[in-house]
Amino acid sequence: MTDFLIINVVIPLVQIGVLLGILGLATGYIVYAERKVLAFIQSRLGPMRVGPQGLLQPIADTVKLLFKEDLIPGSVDKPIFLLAPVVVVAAAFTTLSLIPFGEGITLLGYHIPGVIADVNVGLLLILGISGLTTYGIILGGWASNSKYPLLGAMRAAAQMVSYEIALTFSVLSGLMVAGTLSMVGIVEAQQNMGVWFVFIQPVAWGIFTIAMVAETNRAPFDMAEAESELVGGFFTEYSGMRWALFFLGEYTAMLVMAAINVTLFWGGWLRPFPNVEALAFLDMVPSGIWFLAKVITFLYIYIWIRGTFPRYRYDQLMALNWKSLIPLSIANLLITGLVMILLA
Amino acid sequence: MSTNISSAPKKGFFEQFLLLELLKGMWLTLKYTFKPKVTVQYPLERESVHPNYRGILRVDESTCIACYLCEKICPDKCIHLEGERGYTKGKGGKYATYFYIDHARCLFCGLCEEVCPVDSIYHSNEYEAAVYNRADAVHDLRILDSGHNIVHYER
Repeated sequence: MTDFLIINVVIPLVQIGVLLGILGLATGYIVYAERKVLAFIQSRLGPMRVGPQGLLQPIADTVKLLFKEDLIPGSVDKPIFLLAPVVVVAAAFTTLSLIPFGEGITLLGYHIPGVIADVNVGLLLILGISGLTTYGIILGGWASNSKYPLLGAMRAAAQMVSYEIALTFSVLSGLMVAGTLSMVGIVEAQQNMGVWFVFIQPVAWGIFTIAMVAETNRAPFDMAEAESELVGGFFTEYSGMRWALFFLGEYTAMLVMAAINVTLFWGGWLRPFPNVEALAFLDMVPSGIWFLAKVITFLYIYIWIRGTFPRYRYDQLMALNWKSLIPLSIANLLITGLVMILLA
Repeated sequence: MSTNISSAPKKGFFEQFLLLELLKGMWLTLKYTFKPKVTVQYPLERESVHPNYRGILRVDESTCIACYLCEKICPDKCIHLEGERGYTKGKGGKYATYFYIDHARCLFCGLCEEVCPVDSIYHSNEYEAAVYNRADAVHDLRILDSGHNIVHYER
């Protein structure tokens, strides 16, 4: 009975607590990293004044946002306006519980898995729940009762729904090789095959990487926010803590997408060349560190892309998806299936 | 149908497919990431200005002969002075008894500096002339001679 309680209640609760605790801080530091890297790309220094090298900037920002007046414009549809940021954050946080962060450790005789919930349809669930983010965005834009948020929300919804197609098809190509939807199973499949799936499915990886940037509404596909044309997109009317919730949701979604990319194509928590004995000394590094290093690399690439490319025009954005990415991903899916039949 | 008005050369399939142009752009930004930064963190660091920089006006009280040339040439009428004959300043001839320059009106053209026959009035290299009210922007002879009080930032 105690064992049952500990395994099914205590350990998940502790994991959730630790994850949420780390996440709040991590999101702040992703924003900090973004400001720093963008500054470096533009030959600037970025935040420097709060703490050494500006390292305490995220904490100062959080405190400022928490103490800001909770302002709700008079013209908004209040219940939906209040609900929208919660939907975005809830959707982003729920997906996080399905990401395997490592192999898991054994502590006091209990095995603590590296994932909060190893669901056998994990990846499907992640894609489904992260699709709910669209609702949060469109509700926020609609409830704001103002033109810029409405335009931003419409753009965001159209863009996210469109790119979800290319995203899902490229994920499917990876899944066909793995033969399972479980996030842990996908990593184990890569271990058994001894190769990361990016070397088997490079095209699918390319499509996924482009689609994931668009799916999280990041530059150069940030049509939903488009500061220079839509003021602030769907959160124009939001301020203070509610605005921060949207931001938290956006950066968590970035983190989740990077984690899916790593899990599906870059071997999750596996070390490079997972089956080569000569490199066994790399196992000295805990699996969680490998995973984090890969995720951080992808977060860097996100910021790097934002610092490099100008924003797409809206019709170009849609043309890229419907005319290039979706046909390419379907073709890739068909070829994958064909090759698998021929090899079987 | 729409015509292609772009004059850029058409790219081959693989050039387009592998996004080589985009990778080139990313390589450029990566190089800039590690280049030295141009930011000068102003209150902590200061850029040194060129010696010819036309900053806040200063007057060397001991050499001024109160000839009124600077007052006359000033297009903004921001210089006001009075002189009198005497020996009190340790020299013969005229000296300035009072001398006001309104820096809120000065356009930093440098004409007074050029016209001064004894090089008494000159532009210094100081540029931190911000004040809390307009009266403080009017510098009298004491400030003009010894420099106004600039509070430097300290952490």
